[in-house]
This record gives sequence, structure tokens and C-alpha cells, in this order.
Amino acid sequence: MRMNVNYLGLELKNPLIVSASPLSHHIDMCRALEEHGAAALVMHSLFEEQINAELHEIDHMLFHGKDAFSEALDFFPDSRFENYETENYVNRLHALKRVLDIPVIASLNGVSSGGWVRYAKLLEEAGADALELNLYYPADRAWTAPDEIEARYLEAIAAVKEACTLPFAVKLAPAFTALPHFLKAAGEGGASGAVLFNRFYHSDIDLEKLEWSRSLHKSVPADFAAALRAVAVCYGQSDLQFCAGGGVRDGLDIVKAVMAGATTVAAATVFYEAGAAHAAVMLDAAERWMTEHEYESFDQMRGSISYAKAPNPSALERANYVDLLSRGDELWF
Amino acid sequence: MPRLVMDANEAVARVAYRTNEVIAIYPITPSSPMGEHSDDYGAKGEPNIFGTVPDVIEMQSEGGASGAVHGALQAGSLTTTFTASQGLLLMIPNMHKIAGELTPTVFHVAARSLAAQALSIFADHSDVMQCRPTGFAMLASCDAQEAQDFALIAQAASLESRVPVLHFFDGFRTSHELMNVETLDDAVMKAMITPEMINTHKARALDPERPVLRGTSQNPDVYFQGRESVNPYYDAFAGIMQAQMDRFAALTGRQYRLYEYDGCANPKKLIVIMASGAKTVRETVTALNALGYETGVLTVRLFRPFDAQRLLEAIPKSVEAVAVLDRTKEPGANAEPLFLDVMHAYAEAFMTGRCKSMPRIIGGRYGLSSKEFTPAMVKAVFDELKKPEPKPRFTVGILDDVTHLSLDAAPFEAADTQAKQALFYGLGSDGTVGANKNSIKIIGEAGQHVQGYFVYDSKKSGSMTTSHLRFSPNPILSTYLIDTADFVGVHQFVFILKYDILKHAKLGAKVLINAPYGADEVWMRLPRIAQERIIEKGLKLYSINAYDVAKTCGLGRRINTIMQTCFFSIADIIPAEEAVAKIKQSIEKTYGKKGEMIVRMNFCGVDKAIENLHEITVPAEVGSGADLLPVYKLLSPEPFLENVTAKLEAFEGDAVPVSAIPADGTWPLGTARFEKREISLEAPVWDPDVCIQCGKCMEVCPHAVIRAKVFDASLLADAPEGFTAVKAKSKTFGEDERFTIKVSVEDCTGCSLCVEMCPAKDKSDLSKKAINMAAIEPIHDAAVAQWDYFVDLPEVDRSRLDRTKVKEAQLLQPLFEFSGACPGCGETPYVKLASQLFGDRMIVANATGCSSIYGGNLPTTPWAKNKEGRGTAWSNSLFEDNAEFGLGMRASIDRQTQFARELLYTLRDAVGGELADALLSNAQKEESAIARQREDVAALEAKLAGIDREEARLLEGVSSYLVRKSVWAMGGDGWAYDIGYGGLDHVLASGRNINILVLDTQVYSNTGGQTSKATPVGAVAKFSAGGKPSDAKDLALHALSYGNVYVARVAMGANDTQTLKAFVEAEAYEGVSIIIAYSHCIAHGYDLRNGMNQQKLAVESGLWPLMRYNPEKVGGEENPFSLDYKEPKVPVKAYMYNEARFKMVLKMNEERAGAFLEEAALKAQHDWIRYRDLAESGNLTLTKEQTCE
Repeated sequence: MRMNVNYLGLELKNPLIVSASPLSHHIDMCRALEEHGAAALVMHSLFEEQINAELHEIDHMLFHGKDAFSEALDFFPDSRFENYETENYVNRLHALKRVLDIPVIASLNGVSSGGWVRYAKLLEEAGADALELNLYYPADRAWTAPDEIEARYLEAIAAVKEACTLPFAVKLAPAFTALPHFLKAAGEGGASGAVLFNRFYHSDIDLEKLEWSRSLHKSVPADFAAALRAVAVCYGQSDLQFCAGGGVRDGLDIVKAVMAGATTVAAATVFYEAGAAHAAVMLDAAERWMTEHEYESFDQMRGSISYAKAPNPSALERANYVDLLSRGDELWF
Repeated sequence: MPRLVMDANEAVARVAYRTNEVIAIYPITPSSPMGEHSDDYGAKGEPNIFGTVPDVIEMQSEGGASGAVHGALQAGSLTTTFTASQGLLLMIPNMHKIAGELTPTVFHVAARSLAAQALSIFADHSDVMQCRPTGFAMLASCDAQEAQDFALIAQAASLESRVPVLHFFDGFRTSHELMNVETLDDAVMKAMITPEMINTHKARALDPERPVLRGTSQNPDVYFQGRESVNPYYDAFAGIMQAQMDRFAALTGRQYRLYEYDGCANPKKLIVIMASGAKTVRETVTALNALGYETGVLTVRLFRPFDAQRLLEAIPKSVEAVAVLDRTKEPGANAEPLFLDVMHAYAEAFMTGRCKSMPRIIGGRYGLSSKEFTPAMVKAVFDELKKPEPKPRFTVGILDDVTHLSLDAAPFEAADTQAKQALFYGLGSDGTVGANKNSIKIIGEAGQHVQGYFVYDSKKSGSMTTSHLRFSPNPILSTYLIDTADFVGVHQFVFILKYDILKHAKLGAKVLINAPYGADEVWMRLPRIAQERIIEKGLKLYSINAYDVAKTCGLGRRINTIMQTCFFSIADIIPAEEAVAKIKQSIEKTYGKKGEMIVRMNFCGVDKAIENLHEITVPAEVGSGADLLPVYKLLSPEPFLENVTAKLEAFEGDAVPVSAIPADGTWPLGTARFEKREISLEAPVWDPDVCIQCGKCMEVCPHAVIRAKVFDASLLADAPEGFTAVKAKSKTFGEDERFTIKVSVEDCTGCSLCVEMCPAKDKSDLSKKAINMAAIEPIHDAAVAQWDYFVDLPEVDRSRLDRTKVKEAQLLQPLFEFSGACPGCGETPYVKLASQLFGDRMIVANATGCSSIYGGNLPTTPWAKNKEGRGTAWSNSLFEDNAEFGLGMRASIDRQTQFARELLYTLRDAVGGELADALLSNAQKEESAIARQREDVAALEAKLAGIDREEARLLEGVSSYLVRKSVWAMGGDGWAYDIGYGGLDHVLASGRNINILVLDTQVYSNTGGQTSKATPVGAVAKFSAGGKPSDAKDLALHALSYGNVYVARVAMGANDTQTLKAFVEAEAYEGVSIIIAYSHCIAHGYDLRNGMNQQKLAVESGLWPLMRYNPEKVGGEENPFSLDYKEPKVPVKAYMYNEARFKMVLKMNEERAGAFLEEAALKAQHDWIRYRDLAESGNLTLTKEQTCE
């Protein structure tokens, strides 16, 4: 039986990769994950907004209160700043590359077309094996049309494709009106893969303070359904490869994801909770299932239950929806 | 070595650092940057010329610094220090010791006025003149080049001669003036400071390997001889110094002389002068001689030891009349020091026959506190010398209509005609000064001679900066401000609306205005006077909407590079393309490779500046321009305010005559309210429907621009349109009374603390509160009319209010208002609160620092009086003595109160037993009792008038002391933790009824954020460049150790009720009280609108433990120790990383930052355990019974 897959042009020993998370800050943990079978590591995202904010902060530190009053022409000593986000990111990438044999995929979240290109090149030069472009433009203004936002994403994809030789995947938020359509365009624009889905801060209302609060919730198994379904729907409609993530906990999730059409499966929360050794547990479970069900490889399995393999996928999706509505009482009460 | 642009502070620090091993310092304006540069070099690990990194130590005072210097010298290190003014005075005792022991060192002094009738940070020689008898040699330099060179020469001369040197130069004019300096390389420094010199010094060190005893106590038999034993060293010094100057000349080509003559070959008239003024005299002498005058100038470099012979040898024999100019004043002396020395030199030479005749010699004072010293004044002195009977003593630069000593100075210009002059008017922190400093460097590096001098106004908020820039192919000698310029840059439109700026434009000058309008609208927006000047003088007018450009490029409100680019495009000093390339280079250098995004934004500003710069076509005639905006609003005619204060406001203070100035430094209260600075574009607007009348917005307002009153509803009848008022929510008030909040939009600084503090939210729109910021322009006139009406409404009767409730305390009239403190200041809310609670019977001793500057810096001051004419009597003595100053006040008041009571007792029958008993028995603990006492005192005074007894006359002099006075010693942590700590401790131990308010910003805020012993662990501050390694001293614990001191640590933003209780309890306690008040500060490096929230986080994270200890409760049922905060729940990071001072460490070194966080968290836990245990144990002072148990 062959566990290996090819994702973004990288030969991976199996489909299980470590998704973008603060895990990449902890080199020992990354090594342990590699030892327990993880096939690739996606670093936490380098945020262009964060870099910009940091530079504004540095600007503030350099010029705060300067030359305003004769007795206090400034308030801080001359300082040499070393700890910059971009540099740290690159240093972490170097460190990971030094200790890991598995591919390291850098993740980038840009806001400007110049930023995407600049930082994608930086990460390529720093030795990343592939890139994950974390596409997210908050659609919170009534005058911003969805096609404008998609156009921005496609511009970023095209710009990175032109500037870099590295293969890259796009990581998307779940809320897309026509996801397959966009992904087709993304593939045509140069993306090699799609990572489904991104996770966001959990916003809530603090009823004492009467203001919004936010926190980052860890993924739960129920989250996985969204990615699984989306991969199944989109598989086969473009040349893109898929990485399914969010709520992955079990080895059988790997099997399900590949059956739906994914090439890789990304997990992180479960490693926080169960430790690096859980990677081996998951892979064992997947391998066991494949053995029991006589599958030769993940390539053989990929997309076997995707909507693309159904005679009429859109009707099937609608039927699923109608079916759920008709069974509403049964489900909820 | 390269020629670089720098000021004397930097030029001196570069040499002093590299030629010393130990540097002991303490911040004081204007010398602080010398210490800061040294600390910076040390922090970067830069070695001195001997290859080792000097030890830079910040001390607790200048006295401490000089002690450390003395010790370091005695132990063999090459050691130096930097100081000025009062700081130098504190060093004098050690200077006598250092010189007495023939110890080589150089003290570098940015000479500054001494505090006499007032403090002044500006230049004169009154500080250094106090050091004449110390035995230090005194060497004066004229500019940054000399200051750098003399720093080295003096070091060499001192090492060779063993005589210590006080090297001085003029504060600000030289210490802060940028010019081209030919720098020194290590080879020159090493050639001047040889290993033999150093080892000779070290051989005298105290060393147990070859021990000696130094510093004996001598008796009448030998002390005198010991004093005389040093004479040969002083006799030799001038020769050694000149020889070192000659050695220096051989190495560098720059030849200096101890006494240097400039002028025509056979002058008739001569001015003798020291330091920067000499350059202006040189410049004027050249101009006058070209007009046929026969004049010269003798620059005195070596003032002590005074070498009369060399001085006379330097003066051409043709001189018939000499004017000696002193930049100091010695009241009561026959004349000032330099004059006396020159006169004596001539007299002795004449008496001994070494000179055949004596010229006429007159002496004058000039330039005190950086008073301008111009060619016109120099000419006036020469013209005076031409008179048959010149004034033997004179002043120049002022109008003395009292003793008529001043000389009249007619306009006269002597400046180099090839020099180009530029003036820029900017807002503090808008980057104008920084951009100009950069422009000077660009032009200086392009080969021109340059000069940059920067004038800041006296307010910390919304201050105007004026940059004076000169460029010339020739060396620049003009050490005075620019009067008329070839280029005038107005970087803030409001300035041209307020001031007649263009009177400073030369004919045909170019004027650049940053206008928030399109180019076609600019002309009509200009005031009439500006339009007239532009037409009359044929000025070329350019405009740019720089804020628009900045916004487009993502630069926020930073317009510096945009305006700088426009300047170079217009001014034609160096090719614009070259300048733009240099600007871009310096942007890249500032931010480095990593700051690519900001670099791009600034590049955008540069590129778009040129695109958006417009030349305005000037119409032939003046349009419908408006009058200048009033800067001073007098509601009723008051001669002093009209003749003095208003003139100071209009920058016409130089013209105010001596007769108009109070001789003893006593100035009227409450003048800030007449100054309408209008520095904010936004102000808070009250929503009465949402307001819960809690008083918090007023409480936190640093400038007292938000006020509330409760008044009779009938008074609304005459109120202006839109004057809202609602029913007062408090039960204290009746049905017919109305509550209102009004805002003085003309005085608001726009800090928004009030909005952040407001707890009431609009239930239908939670983004809105009961007070919200809004643009002032649309509401301005109505808001001003409403404020004026509001001010005239009666104040609430103080006796009706419960002062322990914030909402009622905030109805008390603030007697501290509209100060010049920074927008969002964290100190002033406490000061204002004290003024509300006790201001009408308060006497304040204010330590030098921020609070003395915003509290007492002219032209207008914030301490005020109420309608009855009562208010806070305020004074600033010094930095180091404030607790003692306050204690003296207390002792004086107590003595006079006791005397009044004794007299009243004696006069009991005459004034009536009932009245006397009422006066003597009134404890005056409540407002109503105080009001009653005042009424009774008035009745007493009326009765005394009819009693013909000596005791009655004496009682009339002290009757006001029968009213309880509240004595407060206020100041910052620099005072309380460091320089004044010894005195503070003594006062804590005194048991007297004095209240101490420590406005704890955790750094020296006023002098620019230097580390104090209140600086917390991990905070970056000057002298703690990598973050402070140790934690702050716990002043509260120290005060608690006495047991009988009321102690409170407060933070208004965390718990305002606790703060209020602390103030009330402290004042009521009949003993020493100390309140340590967390004061957020601009030096912490964040938007101060969040200041109160940071206070809250400081407490919730456990880094500012709130507590009160009230000894009055000892032995009672209540716990005297009140723990006013809860166990820390918020991580220290959540507080610390909102502030640049902490976060900077993270940006420098992540590992160190992590260690600091851990240490801070540990401290929070330790403090919690310690204070919790104290609270649980309760009494710190056990009664006898408790002890026996």
C-alpha cells in the first residue's frame, strides 16, 4: 500500500500535514510531529497588516513626542530595533528547515498587491518549499461588490504567480457565494491548491461592558463537515489540489477527506491536545482502514465519493438540503 | 575627519565620552543631551580612545553626580560630568574638594540662568559665575566647533596642570544650535591625551597597594599654608592651556588663543566678551568697520585663572575705550565679574607702570536668559563708547525705565549678505523641527555653512515651534534669531490666522503655507494683514494641502517630509533633485531596510508633495481678509494683563519695560483663562439624555475644560440658545434645580480622555456615550456663548456637597484650569482635584518639574481664584528642596496660627467672649465650619479696628491664620524618589500636618523621560536604553515604616472613589500624609486618550497596588490599612505592551522582554502577598496594650 501523495509539487510521505498555527513556533514539537509521521508543516501566517502595524509602531517609537518642547526634545533613548516580524518569520523558517526533513510551507496573509509579491518573494528566497496564500478581505461595506473582492484575490494570485516560481495554494474563508467558480479561476490564475478553510476569531458581545469581545476558539470535530463538503463539491471542477482542514482529529478523517477529493489533510488543534504522537495514531488508523478495505493508495481513493462522481451533483446538493428540511423535527427535537 | 552637522551637546559628548572612563550624570536642561549621548554610546558598547567602554552612571542629583565624580577621580579614573544652572550649584561643594586636591577633570556646562525671581532654562553665565572661587579653571567656548575642540584641549590641560576645568558654553544657543563641525579622529585625541598624562593621574589614585590619606581635617596651624601651596599650579595653568591649544593647532590646523582679538588693526573702541555673544560682536565689528568705525572685539576664552597679562597683551594699544559685557548679574556688586577683572587688569598694569594710560572702561549686562543679543545692540554699545560721558554701567537688549541703565538700540543689520535665511512655523510633534534638522544636514553635507536654531513655546500642548535656519558659503557668525527671512514656511494654517508671521519675510521672499484648502481658496482664507504683507513686500506665495497628501500616502498627520520637499523645491538652496534624493536617503536611513513600508509611504509623501505644490497668483489688491484671531480674551480691563500678559502672548514680551515687571517675581493668578489657544479641531459634546451625572468626564479632564453646575431653573431664562440643562439626579438638589455640563471648546486640547472615561452609553447606539467628540468648527460660536454664560452662573454652595462622592466633588470649582500640560496629561487631574477640594485655602510648594512648568510657566498660569478672591497660593522653590519648602510653610503657618490664637485669647474680652470662643473652638473639619470661621474672622477684623491695643494691631496681621490652611508639597517622582528623597524622608518623619502629592510618572518627564527610581522594571527610559533591569522603589512601604504617616497609593483611572477618599482623608489627617498618584504620561509612549484605561490595567495586573493607610484609625474598630485592589487577574503583558516604553524591549530583544515580563509578573504577585498580609495584620503601629498582649 502506498501512503505517499504529491501536493503542490512536493512528494509527501502521506496526506497528513500540520496546519498553519503557532505550533511552528515550537521547533521541538515540530520535530516530534515529523518523527510521528507528519508529512509537511505549514507555518503560522505572516500578516502584511501586522508588518505594517509594527512599522507604524516603530515609527511611533522613533518620533513620539519629538521636538515639541524645549526641555524634552524626545522621550526615549536612541534604540536599535532587531525583533521585526518579517525577520523573525524568516529566521523561524530557516530554523525549521534546518531541523526538519519534511517540506515547510510558508503562509502569507497580504493586503496589498505589492505586499503579496514582496513577501511571497521574500519567503521563496528564504527557502520555503511552497506557499499558502491566506486570502481574506473583510466584506463589511455595502458598496463593495463580491466580484470586486474576488477580483482582488485573483490579482494577488496572478501577481504571486508572476513573481515566484514556488507552487502555492490559496487558503479561503468558508463564506463564498460560488466557491467552485472562484476556485476554477484561482487555478487558472496560477494557484496549485486550495486549503479549505480558514478559521477566524470568535466574536461575541460582552453584556457587562456592552462591547464586542473576541477570542480564537480551537476547532472542534463538527467544523470538519464544512471542509469535507466543500472539497467534495469542488473536486474535479478545476485542476486544483485540495487540503481539507478544521476539526480534523481522527485518522478516519484523513480517509474521508481524500475520498471527498483532498490531497492532504491539515490538523493542529488535535496535536495541542493529544500531543505529537497522535499523528502516528491517526496515520495508523487511516492505514488500518485502507488495509481493511483493500485500498492500494490514497491516489486510488481520491475523489471517489466527491460530488463530481455523482451523475448530477447540483441536484444532489439541493436534494440534500431539501431532505434536511423535511427531517427538521427529527433532527432538532 | 568628516565635517558633520551637530550641536555642542553632541560635539562635546563625543569627545568627553571618548576621553573618559567614568561619567556620572544627572539630567538638567539644557545639558541633559550630553549625558544622553554618552549613555547611548555606552549602551551601544562604543569604546573610548583607550579601547574600553566607559561607565555611564545616572545619579540621584547633581550633588550625587559630583560626589561620584570625586570618588571616581580619587580612585584613578578619568572622569567627567555634564550639568547646568542649579545642578552646577549643587556640585560646588565637591568642586572645592576636587580642585583643592588638585584633581584633573573637566566638567562641561551648558550655561543657564539661575532660579532667582523665577526659574529660567535659558542661557546666561550666572551659574558658572558662582564657581569662580572653587578653584576650577573656567574655559568658555563660542560655538559647537570650539566646544568640541575645547573638550579635548581642556582635558589635556587639566591632566597636565592638575587644575580641574569647568568648560562652558551658552545653553540652547550653543548647546542646541546645529552647525558644521570638523570632527576629531582618535589619532588627534590620542595625541593630545598621552598615556604618560593618564598614568601620572592614576599614580595619585587611592590604592591600598600604595596607600595615602587625603581629605584630612586641618587646624589653624597649617590650613592656610595648604591653601597657598596650590599657587604654582594656578600660575602655570594659562601657559599650559595655551601650549595645549598650540599642540592642538599643530594637529588640526585650528589655532585658538586664550584671549583672542578680532577687528581692525588699530581699533579705538573694544568690546570684551565671552562665549556665543562674541561671534555676533565679531560679525558686527566687521560690518561697522566697513562703515568707517574703528572697532574690535576681544574674545575671552580663559576666565579662570584670569591671566591679566596675556589679556592685556592681546588688546591693541590703540584702544581708547572698552566696554566689557557680562552675561550675568550680581545684584549689589560694584559691577559684574568680567568687567571687574578687566578693569583690575588695566588698573594694576597702569599702577605698576606696565601700561602708560588707561582706556575708558564701562561695563554692561546683556543676554540674560537668552535675551536676544543682536548687531543692533552691539552697535549701541560701540555708540555708547563714542559718547563723551558713556554710562559706566549699562544694560543692552531691554528697556529699563526704572534705573535707566539700558541703551537704545536702533535697527542695524550685520549679517552676511550671501547668507540665506529661512523661518518655519510648526506645531510641536508635527515633525517640522526634525525635518529642518535633516534639511540642515543635507545642505551642510552639500558644502555650505549652516546654522539651525529652534525656538519652542512655553506650553507642552499644541506648542508652536519656530525654526531659524541660515545657510551660507561663509562661516555663520549670527548667534541671534532671524528677524526677516528669504523663506517663510507656515506649516500650520492656524498660525497665520493668529500671528503677523509675514512681518518676518524679506522683500520678495518666498512663502510656503500648508493650507487645508485648494490652491484657489488659499488667498481668500488668509487674514488681511497677511494679504497686505504679501502684496507690499512682493512675496511669492506657495501652498500645499500637506495633510491631504499625508493622508493619501498613509502618513497620518506627519507632514514633515512633505513640507521639507516643498522647501527644497522652492527655496533654491541646492538643486531640488539632489535634495529629494538626499531626503529619500535619510528616510531610508531612519527606518532601515526593515522599515520598507514606512519608507515607501514617506517616498510617496515626497513625490506627491511636488505634484501638489502650487504657486498662488497674488491679486493686485487685498481681498476680504479677516482680522487676526485674538490670542488673548480679556473680559474686563486689567492694566497688568493688558500691558504685560497680553504682550507676552503676542510674542511682544521683549518690548515690555522693566517697570512693568514685578520686582519680586510675584504674578497674578488665573491668567490662563484669558488665553484662548484653540489648538484642537475636536471637543467633547454633552448628551444630557444619556448622561448619568457621575462627574467622571470632569474629573479626568486634564485642562478643566469640562465643568458642571447645578443652579436654579429660573437662571435658564436668559441662557443663550441651545443651552441645555436637565434635572439634577442627586438627592442633594431640589426639584427646581438644574444640572448642566459645558465645555470650553477654546481651551480643549482634544485629548478625548473624557470620552474614554465616560461610563454611560446610549442604549440605542452603543458607539455613543454621554460625551462624544465632535468637530468644533460647526459648534464653535454657540459653544463659546454657552460657556461664557455658564461661567457666570453661581457656583454650587460648597457646604451642600458631599466631597467623598465623585459626582458631587466634581461640582466644586476647579482652581487649576487650562494649564499648558500635554494633551491627556495624567498629572493634572490630581492637581485639579486638590484645587477643587482645598484650593480656596491651599498653599502649595511645587517641586521643579512638569507640575511647576505647567503650573507656573509664563505667559499665563493655571492656578486660579474663586469669585470671593480666594485661591491657591503657589510657589516653586527648587527641585531638590520641595518637601522642606513645604514643611517651612507649615511651620510658619502653625506658628502664626498659634500666635493668632494667643492674641485672641488675650483680647477675648475686648472682642467678645462668644466670638473669641467660636473662633478658638471651631475645628473646621467641614466646609460649613470653614465658612463659619471665615465669617467669624471677618467679624473679628471689624472689631479689632476699634480696639486700641498693640495686641489688636498684631492680631490684624495674623487673623487670616485662624482659618485652617491646607499645606501641600507637590512634585514628580524625580523629586520624591531621587533628588528630594532625603528631604522628603525628613518631612515624613516630622509629624507635621503637611500633605505630599507625588505625581508619579515613573520617569523624569519634564526633561525628556530619564530613568528615576520610580521607573518600573522592563521600561525603556533614557539611561535604561535596554529596559530598566531593577524595579522601582516602593515609596509607600517606606512611608508606612513610620507608622504615623497617612499613606495612599492611588490611580484615578482604576478607582476614582478611592482616589477621592485618599485626598480627603490625607488632608483631614493631622499629621504627614503622602499620596502617590499613578500619572500616565507622554513619556510612556502611547495615545494618552487611553491613559485612564492603562491606569486600570496597571492596578488589575497588580503592578500598581492601590492602598490607604490611615493612622487615625489605629486603635479603633476600623482597619487602618485598606487594601483597595484585588488579587491580580490581568496578565502584566496586557498592561505593559500597550505602552511603547515596555514594548520597545520586545522589538529590541525578545528574550530580554520575556524575562522582564516574568519579573514584572513576579513583582505583582509579591506585592499582592505583601500588601494583603499588611491589610490582614491591620495596624502597623501597635498600641501599648496590643504590644503587651
